[in-house]
Amino acid sequence: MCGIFGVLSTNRFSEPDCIKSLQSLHHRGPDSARWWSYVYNEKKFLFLGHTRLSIQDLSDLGSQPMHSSDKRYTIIFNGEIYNFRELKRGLESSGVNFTGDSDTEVVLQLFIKYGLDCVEKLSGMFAFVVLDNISGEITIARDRFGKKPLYYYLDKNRFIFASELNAILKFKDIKSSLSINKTSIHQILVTGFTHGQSSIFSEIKKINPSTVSVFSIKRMTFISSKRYWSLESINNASNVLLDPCQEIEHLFNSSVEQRLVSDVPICMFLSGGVDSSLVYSQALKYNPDMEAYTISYKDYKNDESSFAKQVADSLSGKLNIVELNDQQFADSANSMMQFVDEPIADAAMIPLHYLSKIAGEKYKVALSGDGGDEIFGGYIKYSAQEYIEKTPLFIRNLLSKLLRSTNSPSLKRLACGLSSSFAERQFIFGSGGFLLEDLDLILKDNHIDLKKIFLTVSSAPQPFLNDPYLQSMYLDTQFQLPDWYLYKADRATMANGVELRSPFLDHKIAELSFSLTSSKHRKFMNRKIIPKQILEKRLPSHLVHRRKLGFAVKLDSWASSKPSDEIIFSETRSDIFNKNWLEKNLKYMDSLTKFKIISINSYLLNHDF
Amino acid sequence: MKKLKLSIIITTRNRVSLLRNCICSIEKNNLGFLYEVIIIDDASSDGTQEFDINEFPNLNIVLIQNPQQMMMVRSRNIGARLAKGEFVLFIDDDNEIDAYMIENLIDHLDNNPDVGLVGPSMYHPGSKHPYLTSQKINLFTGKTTGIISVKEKCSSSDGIPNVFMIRKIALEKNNYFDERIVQTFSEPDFAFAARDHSYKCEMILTAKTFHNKTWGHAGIQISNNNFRQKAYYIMRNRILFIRRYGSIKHKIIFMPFFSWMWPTIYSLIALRYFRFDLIALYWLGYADGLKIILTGRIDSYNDSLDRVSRLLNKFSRKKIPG
Repeated sequence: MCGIFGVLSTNRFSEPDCIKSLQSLHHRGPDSARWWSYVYNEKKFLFLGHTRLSIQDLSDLGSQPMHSSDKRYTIIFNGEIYNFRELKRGLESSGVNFTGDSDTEVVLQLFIKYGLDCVEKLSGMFAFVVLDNISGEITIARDRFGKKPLYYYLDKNRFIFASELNAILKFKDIKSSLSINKTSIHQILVTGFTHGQSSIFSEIKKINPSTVSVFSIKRMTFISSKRYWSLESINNASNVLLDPCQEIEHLFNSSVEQRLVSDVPICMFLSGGVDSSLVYSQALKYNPDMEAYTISYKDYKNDESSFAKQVADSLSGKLNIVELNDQQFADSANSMMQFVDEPIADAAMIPLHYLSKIAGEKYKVALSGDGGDEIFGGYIKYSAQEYIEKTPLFIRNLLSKLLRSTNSPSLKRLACGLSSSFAERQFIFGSGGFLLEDLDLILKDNHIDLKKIFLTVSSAPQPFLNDPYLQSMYLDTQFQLPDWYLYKADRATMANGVELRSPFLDHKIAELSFSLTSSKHRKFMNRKIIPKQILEKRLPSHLVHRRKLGFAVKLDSWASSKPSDEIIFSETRSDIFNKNWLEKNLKYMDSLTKFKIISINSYLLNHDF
Repeated sequence: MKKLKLSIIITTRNRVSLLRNCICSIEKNNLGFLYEVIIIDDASSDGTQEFDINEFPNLNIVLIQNPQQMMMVRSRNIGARLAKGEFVLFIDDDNEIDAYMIENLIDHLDNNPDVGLVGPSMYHPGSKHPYLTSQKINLFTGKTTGIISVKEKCSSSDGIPNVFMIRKIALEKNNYFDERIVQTFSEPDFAFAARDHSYKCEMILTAKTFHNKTWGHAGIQISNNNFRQKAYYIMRNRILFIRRYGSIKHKIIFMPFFSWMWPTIYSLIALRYFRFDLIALYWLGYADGLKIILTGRIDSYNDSLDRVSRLLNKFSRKKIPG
């Protein structure tokens, strides 16, 4: 896992400016930093930089930027390819010679042999850039689920790309070309994350997951963009499988095994929930000494560490309980606020950041249960979507009107969802964000275009129309997973030089899961049946069927503390927020609401916008 | 390698906002199969060349930028030759297609193997009533008539403008579009040529497109100088079309009685706007059409464009590239 940064410019630029940007990715790759400059056709100037976290092939042979033997191709790569040894054997049998044993070299050789189609052969998480200096094209690709980030800025004269937005911001004179994307701020406030390609800045975008794009150096524009993987074309053919659970267990076991390939030791982030427990149970079969880490809050009702302990004991694993007190929480939160590259609306990032900091003192790689809920339908909102879709429209509208008249925020949220479209409702539920009707009060801009907030998700394909439960899972996998949860996981762990691997996010598992009808995923209110069935064979039933809590977050004491209030009062952006309304209503706000506003404010302050 | 069901080809020039709307409308067609979108930018200078195709994450897009203006037919052929789909859908950039249009067009081709080309009924934006459900060309007069009929779900048509879907095999059998036509009458020419391979051309009511029509009365584009060449080709190609597909009877009636009427009528309209450049182009097109009738020889793509370009330079307006 690493950091990548590159600039293509029609004007000559100073290398130290690029190195400054590259240095801002030091936390992603603390082991080494290298770069390479190139002049294309005496007209275009290119810089490719890489910070390395050495996990596969610790020697210098795995260093990047990496060139092909004929110097035609150059690659910078961030990620891990779990099937690289298998791919390497295939390439070797067709006569390709390798100099080292890194996955990067395998990706480069695959690209040379198969071109853009090489991405379809990769199993893993990645974002990479390949320069072909003969054709004058730069190929950029991102993994299927969007685990590894890649941002870019493009104008007539400059094309800048990086693993983190902050690296682009650090580039000389770029800030003056940027403007805050107000729709993104609205999205963060309402749904918790920026949707799809957009970022907090109008001019900086993300490369979409499952996409391979080609950029022409000569024309300074993207000339092709291919979505190489999607869940849309999956049909329900696999329902004929007599025991899909057995098939999924087989794929899952193999996915865990693949993710244990590493030249450095690996640990486990264990919450004690179904997903992380299942991953840990399987990982221990291959590596019985694997240590697990969990977070614990003293005197907090939602503390899950006791469940994690029971799981570890049942599996004979070794658990490290990392205690997080109020002071450490505040320090970790402030530290996160300093370096996140987009405002965060999810306070769960803070304990994860702290946990990876502690685990990172000993380990460079950790396994997690991320993605289990999206792939196997674990969230309650999937059931809610299904029941609402089955409810006649006139009853929905009637209920919505009744619930709007109540004072309860959660009932109002339900009312808002009832009267919205499927895609809008998907991200209103479970977001913990502001109600649409409150936006007018909180924000200075009184003409919020609600359609614009949901434009990206509304215009997405709508597969599984006859199965709302699957449709809901699909939308989360498409948007919330990459743009929120995987973003959170990547930044919180990479800040401490820890690579997080998620066995549930394997494309073969996802394809099989989405080929099943929802009846295989839930029975009444019992969701995520398949992982639970597998885990029942490995853990006592009470640990499998307990109420879900997730990595609990203790925000109250921090968000109501003096410094946070001060930020809201004194430094709130008056061009964005309605300061008067915030001052009057601060006392009524819950800690999560405050956290969102503080997060946006801190971000803008820290980045001088 | 997976077989593609559909390739969509959009030709565009200097209409980036229309192009964006057009692609958005394609994205709303919820297709459960693999397809590609090929955009041919015909040497735009309005920012289309900076258009970021990554804005549309759900589509597989290839952007081809012509180094110089190549006009509609050649641009379509560039896309058509690259197309890997079983069906090829051509969409002009000033269309916003209905969310079920593609599905309905494909269904029609799937269910009617004798149909080679199929098109949607055409609507003005926001309108509930179509303005075109099929097209007929009178080979005696050379007049193209737009027909509006909501009685027939499917109508035979002599050509389909703006948006149409063609079997790739029909494209190959026809050897693609005749590039010498350059623009206008290209679609009827293709439809008539496809009849030789027993392919029918039909327009269906269940598929809809909303067309932001930019052309003025009688094909005279007064406000926009981008497509002035059209004035030449509309006259020349009408005569070429009658020569190719009309019988002796058609030609005997058309040539003395109707052929000269078209440039005359158009010139009178252009005179109202003092567009002498267009008048010159109409008559040059007519003269070249007569030459085709008499000699049977059609100017190559480059030769005809050169003639138009030279004429336009005399009117000291913007020089036409290519």
